[in-house]
Formats: sequence, C-alpha cells, structure tokens
Amino acid sequence: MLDIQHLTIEFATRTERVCAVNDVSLSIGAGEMLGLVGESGSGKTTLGLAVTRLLPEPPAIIRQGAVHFQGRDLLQQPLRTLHRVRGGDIAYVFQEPATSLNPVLTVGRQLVEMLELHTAQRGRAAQQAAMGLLQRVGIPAAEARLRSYPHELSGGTKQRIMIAMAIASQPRLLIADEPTTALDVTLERQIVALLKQLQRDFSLSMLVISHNIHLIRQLADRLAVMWQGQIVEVGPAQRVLQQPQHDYTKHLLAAQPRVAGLAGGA
Amino acid sequence: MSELLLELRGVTKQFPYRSGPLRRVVGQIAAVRGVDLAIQSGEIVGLVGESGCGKSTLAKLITQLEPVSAGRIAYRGQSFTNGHASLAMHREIQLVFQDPTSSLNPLQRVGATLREPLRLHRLVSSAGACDEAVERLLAMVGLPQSYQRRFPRELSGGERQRVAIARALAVEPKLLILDEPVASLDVSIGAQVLELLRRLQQERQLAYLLISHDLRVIGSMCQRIAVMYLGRIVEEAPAAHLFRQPAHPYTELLLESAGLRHAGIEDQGELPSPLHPPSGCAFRTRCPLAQPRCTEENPLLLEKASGRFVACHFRP
Repeated sequence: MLDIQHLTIEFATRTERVCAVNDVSLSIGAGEMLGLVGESGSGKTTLGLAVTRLLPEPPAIIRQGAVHFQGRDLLQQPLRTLHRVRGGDIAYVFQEPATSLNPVLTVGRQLVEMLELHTAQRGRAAQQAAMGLLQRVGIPAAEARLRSYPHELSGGTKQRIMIAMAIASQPRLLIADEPTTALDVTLERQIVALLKQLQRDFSLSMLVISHNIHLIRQLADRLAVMWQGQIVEVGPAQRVLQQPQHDYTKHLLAAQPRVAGLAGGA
Repeated sequence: MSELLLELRGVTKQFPYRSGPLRRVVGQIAAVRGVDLAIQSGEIVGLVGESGCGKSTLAKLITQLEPVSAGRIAYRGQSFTNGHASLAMHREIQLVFQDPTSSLNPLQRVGATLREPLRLHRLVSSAGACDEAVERLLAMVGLPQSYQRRFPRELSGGERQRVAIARALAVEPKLLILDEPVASLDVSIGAQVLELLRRLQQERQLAYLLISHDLRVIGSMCQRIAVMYLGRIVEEAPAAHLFRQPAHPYTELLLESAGLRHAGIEDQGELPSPLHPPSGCAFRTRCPLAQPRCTEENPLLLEKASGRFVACHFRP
C-alpha cells in the first residue's frame, strides 16, 4: 500500500541543519494498522506529513528517499496530483480537532466541501452523504449536527467529525496523528472502537502516530518505534511490546508508570 | 505519627456564568459540589477524574487562590475559609502546576526564582544563608548549581518542572498539591519527575495531593485515591482496593478505558455540561445500573467498608 524508502528530511535554520527524519524505510500493507510510537521531537509527525509533502519546504528539505503509493513515487508528483491524493486516497486525522475545523463554517458545509472536492456527489446528494457519514461515526441527531458550528460541540464529537471528514473520500490510507491526545480516557476508548470498526468495514490501511503506548497497543498490528529521527525497532505489536529488542524501546516501556500489584500495569 | 493535616467538609465552588452583550450572570456553574476529603501527614492521596470534573478548581480552593462558595477547609484543625489563612498556612501548603513554562517567571533566573519565597517567608537571615539554601534546593531536585544563572527558556520541560518543585519546597511545606505534575512531559521524563517526587516524599515526610487524569500515574504513586465526577467525589478507597475491586460504575469505566480492567463495559456517553448537571446522581446518564431512583436522589458518599467510600445507590 505505502512504501517509504530511505527517507531523509532536514530542517534548515539560519545557522544549522537539523535532521528530523534520518534514512527511514517503512511500509504499510493493505488493511494493515501500523503504529508509530515515539516521544516529542522524535520525528514521527514530520514523517506522517512528509508522506503527501504537507511539510512546508523550506524550512524542510527532503534530502533523499521515495514514498511509493499505488505504484507512484509521491515525492516526484506535481502539486496537482498531490492535491488529489491528500484528503482523497490518503486522509489525515490530526491531534487537535478544535484547530483543524473551520470555526466560522457549519459542520455540514465543511463535510459537503470535502465530498464535492473528492467525490462525484453534489448538492442534495452531498448533503445526504454528509448525514450518512455523521451517522457512520456514531453522532446522534446527525441532521441537527450538520447545522452546528464547531464551538457548539464537545471535543469527542469534534474528533468524530474529523474522522467523518477523513473517510468522506473513501481513502485507502488514513494517517491519524495523535488522534486521541486531546481527549479524556473514556472518549479515547470510544474513538479507538470507532477507528477499529472503520478499518474493518472499509479494509482501510492506517498509520497511527502517537506517544501513547496504550493507544498503539489497542490499535496496531505492527509497531515501529522512532527515536531521534530513526526507526529503531519495528515488528508485530505484541512482540515489540512483550520482548523489546532495542534499548530505547525497553527504556520507553520501563518508563510507563506501573500500578503496584496489577497485571498489565505497564 | 500521622496527624490530620487537611480536612475538607462540604466544599462547594460556583462560578457565575455570564452571557449576552451585557455579560449578565445567567447561571451558576457548580465546579465543586460538596466535597469531603481528608489528608494525613506523610500521606499520598490521589484525585482522579476527567477534564472539567473540578479537580483543578479544588486545588485552587485548597491553596486559597479562589474563595470557596460554601463548606469548610481546615488545616491542622484550624479553619481558614475565605482569606483568613495565616502566613504559616500559606507556607505549609504549596502548589505545583501542570505547565512549568507558564508557572515560572520567564524573566527571572532560576536562582532568583528560588530566592524569592525564602525571603518572602523570612526563612533566611543573611545573603550567605540564602545562597546555601538555594544550593541545597537545586541539589535536592537533581539540577547542577550552574542552573542558578539560567532562564526558564534555557531549560527542558523536565528541568523546568524540577525548578517548580524546588520553588515549592523552598519554604519547607508539609503538604504539596501536585496538579497534573507530569501531564506536559514525555513519559520517560515524567517517570524521572515521579521518581524525584517519591524520593522527596520519603526523605521529608511530605503529604501529597496528586491530581491527575491518568490512573496509571495515580496508581503508581498513591496510597489512597478519590475519584471525582462532575464536581463530586464518587468513590474513595485505598489504592489497591480501588484497582482490584472498584465499587462505583464510573471508577469501573475509568479503569476499563485505561486498559486496567477488561469487563467489556459499554459507553457512548460524554461528561454532561456542568452548567446543567443531571438531577440526582450525576453519572446516571452514562451508568449501566441507572434506575428511576437515581434521577431523584443524589447518592451520598457513604462508608461501605472500612476506608471505602462509595456514592451509589446500588453498590456495593
């Protein structure tokens, strides 16, 4: 599905160059959920954005590498092609739904805009489809919600709407960057269930980026650990979590607070 | 010997809710609704709940940053409700905030930040003694002496939180209120800060009220845990009991959501608005056990077994 090869990305400041992603190779199979875990500054978000060249260049410089998606190297495609791919075949869900939604447009307008951009649906058909999408992501009273503005909605509902917008174009690959970090733990659980459901129903491929090992544990089939711009370990999620090979992975798992006397406390 | 340090009785806080062009008060948001809580000296008590449940407001009430609307807060048996706290009480209860970036003065070097409380509370008699005290504080939180000359922006997040802890400890408090002390830190840095807090608590026999949304952080630190939902404490129990045998359905939901229990609880709800809290039991809108009685009658926080308090009509 997606094949990243030897990708190296640098950020240039006036005085120095910082290597954010260093010779990373990573692939995601069809219908696979890949978890990318790492701490702040490890380069995981940069990597996610670089897949469709969403990084502002400059300051970012893609030094080398290739991102193969559906037989094409996305890094070599003209902007017009990328516009179609972004939000089309590859959709994003970002961390903070409050800042990703347009505050002055209703939810309905924003969903219809997505549908008109990326599908053949127009007008009333698009309205109907938008309502279907809201029902799909478990939002009650979908018709009323279409007329709501983002500030009228709770954080959990906003994130559901972000997910609805992401699946509007029936993407092949969903890149979810810290999809639950702004949410409380009970809502995180609901969003996890929703993402799993969608992945099953549409056999979506998913790249889930997070610092949160518990989130990744629940979602990912395969797990990649990123540290200082490099993938230090990759493998089946269960194996990496139970028998980490790399020192950094061990360190990261050991740093999880442990509840005394409780199995699975890690 | 442990003694009762802090006691809260029916503590309530309402904020006026303003709306419209004239900013008229159109309602009251009850952030904290009749909270009872006691903390013994040398004890680590955890307060866990989701955003908007009133945990941070409670921290502000205890440290007198906000006046209470009703109820009583007593420190060592002396009530200090609303602005009558002595300087000594202010000294003995200290607060560490979630985000050290905004709670440290960006224009003040670390050394000056640590000197200020020492002088304010007249804990040092001379400049020499003050310098020594600052050196001791930095050593205590594991920072090099050279950091005295640094500004907060020259420190990492974890180092800043160490400075914030050192500042709180400068006045030799008995009770630290830790409001999400590691929520803004990466997990490996957070682990180091928690380790530091554990060590300091043992060395100095401190009492902590640790406030967090993260059950794992709470569970790894605390002896006793209170669970808060929409301004009320719904369960309070020794940590081991709470994790092994939660009594309140909300505690069960929290544990399940954090992956610490696997009982297959269904949940599609969200925290109701504190502007219009549900009548009766606040959790009834999400509760699998809810009955008509829960709409009418607010369950009181009752001691169901020794040291176990539960606010539910049907549990245990």
